[in-house]
Amino acid sequence: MRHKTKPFHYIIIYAIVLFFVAISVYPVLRVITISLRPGDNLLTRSLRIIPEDATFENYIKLFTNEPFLLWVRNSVLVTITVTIIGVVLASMAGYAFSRHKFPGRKLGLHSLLITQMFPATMLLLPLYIMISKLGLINSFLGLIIMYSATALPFCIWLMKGYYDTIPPSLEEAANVDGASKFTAFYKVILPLAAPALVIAALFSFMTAWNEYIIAAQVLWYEDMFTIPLGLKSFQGNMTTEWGLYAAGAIVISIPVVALFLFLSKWLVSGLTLGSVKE
Amino acid sequence: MFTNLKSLICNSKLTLYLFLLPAIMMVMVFAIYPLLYNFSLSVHEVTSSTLLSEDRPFVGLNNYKEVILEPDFIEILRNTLVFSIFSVLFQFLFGLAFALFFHQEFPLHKPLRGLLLIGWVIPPAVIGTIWRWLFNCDIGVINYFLNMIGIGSVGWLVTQTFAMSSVLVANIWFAIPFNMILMTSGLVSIPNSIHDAAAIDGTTFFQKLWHIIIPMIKPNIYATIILDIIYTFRSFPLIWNMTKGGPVNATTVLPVWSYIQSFNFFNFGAGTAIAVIILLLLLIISIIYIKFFVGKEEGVL
Repeated sequence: MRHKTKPFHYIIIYAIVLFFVAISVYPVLRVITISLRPGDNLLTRSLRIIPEDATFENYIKLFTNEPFLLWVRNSVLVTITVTIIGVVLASMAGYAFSRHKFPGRKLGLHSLLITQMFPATMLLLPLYIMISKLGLINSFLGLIIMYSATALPFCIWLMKGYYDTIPPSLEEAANVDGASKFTAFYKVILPLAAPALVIAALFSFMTAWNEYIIAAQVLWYEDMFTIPLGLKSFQGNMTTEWGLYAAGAIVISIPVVALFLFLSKWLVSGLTLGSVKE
Repeated sequence: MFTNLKSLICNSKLTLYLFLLPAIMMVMVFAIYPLLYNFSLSVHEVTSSTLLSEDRPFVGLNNYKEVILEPDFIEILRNTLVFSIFSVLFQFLFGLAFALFFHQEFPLHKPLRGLLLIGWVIPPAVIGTIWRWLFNCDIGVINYFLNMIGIGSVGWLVTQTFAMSSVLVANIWFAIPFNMILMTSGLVSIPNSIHDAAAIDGTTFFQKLWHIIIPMIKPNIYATIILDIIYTFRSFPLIWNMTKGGPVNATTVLPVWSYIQSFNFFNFGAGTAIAVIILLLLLIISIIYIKFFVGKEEGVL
């Protein structure tokens, strides 16, 4: 479809595009609007994107009065650890699943798939019992373990699918040249799998960065909250500080937007090559 | 000595097992074991006091019987199916349509496509809240527009008639970017020469779509739809944030019900039994789907 569009069609194309872009962007603009309103002034029907009395009050309050900076630190700590664990373990396990026929391989792959059919929130109860027996309630370690275990199966499948598209002759050539199996993997295959590594990293990142239902069961003290859990705590029983909530929602989305922009080049190629099979 | 040991580790089957071990341990202990543990809880009588002890009487399938005989069960099952079928259908069709559309070259098509993907970067919990604002009866923007064209306010999330469709709209909005990205990745894998050949033969757009594009991205379509089904059928945070399953049971789907049973009513036996029912239903649906549509095409996922 890479043909030149006739100028005549432009008007129709742009009308349709703008309509759908408006629908996708508007809800997000609405959050920005609310975050800029002074006080708890959610209760206006004004459609202005930038309110007349726009103020950064909520952002300032967020970064000064609330334990928000602590939550940012907690979220960053948990998310980065989960991302590293996800990428390192999945890149290795995916490779073994892709390159070796060992007993239990099919069973292993199927079990990984089945864990995906079980909603993370449903594992909450058994995991909660396990974590509390291990004494990991109110520890980041408990949360990191739970997130990693949730993100790993998808990442392993993704890496395995991508390795499948890389011809084994590449490692064989490296082995003939005297490289060990590990060196061949590390020096030859891993760099080629960069797009899939990027997606695995992004997926692990999003799992840990956005989650709050599991976190709510494991972390009890406000000082230990992650950002989404902290945001949740703004929605009190009596009053909700919507301005603060909206400002927090914008702040939590910024790193994800930045990551997507930064990684967009690899994003499509990572998903493409992994799904193309000979 | 060390070089020998190193070469032993690096070249034997040991490498393979060393590669597998950490991930497999992690998944076994913290994903598969809890799954089995959940199953075990579902056949025992579990109350708040026995939750952390091992002293739970075995009750066989009683929890399942209790859940299935519950008068609400049929309605909740129906809600789950309605929610899943309409979500998957529309999010896939819109995702495919947008992917096709933005695969054309027109000025600004890349930044505009980027804007369409924006819903993907917002945490699901926040998305639920945003849509609760938009659908709000008194201050919501949707009613504002309706009033402008002379239609009275609708209680989107508070009336049983409209709650499900409102939740569906939000979920479809949320899931379109995922479908769009997966479909785009299929489209870019079609070689340009095929488009050129079709252009020379003078095929219409719909002929090309039906006879060339769809067959070529079939593996992507199969994989996308099964992922859609799994993610939708078990989706929880969005509905929980918008309606908590209400009003009455109008938007209660199985995952929401399971959560309510366990964490609101402390009826852990029922909660875990519902979770197992979700898993079994998804397994049956997936097996039928794979047998029926995918057949012998290996390696779709």
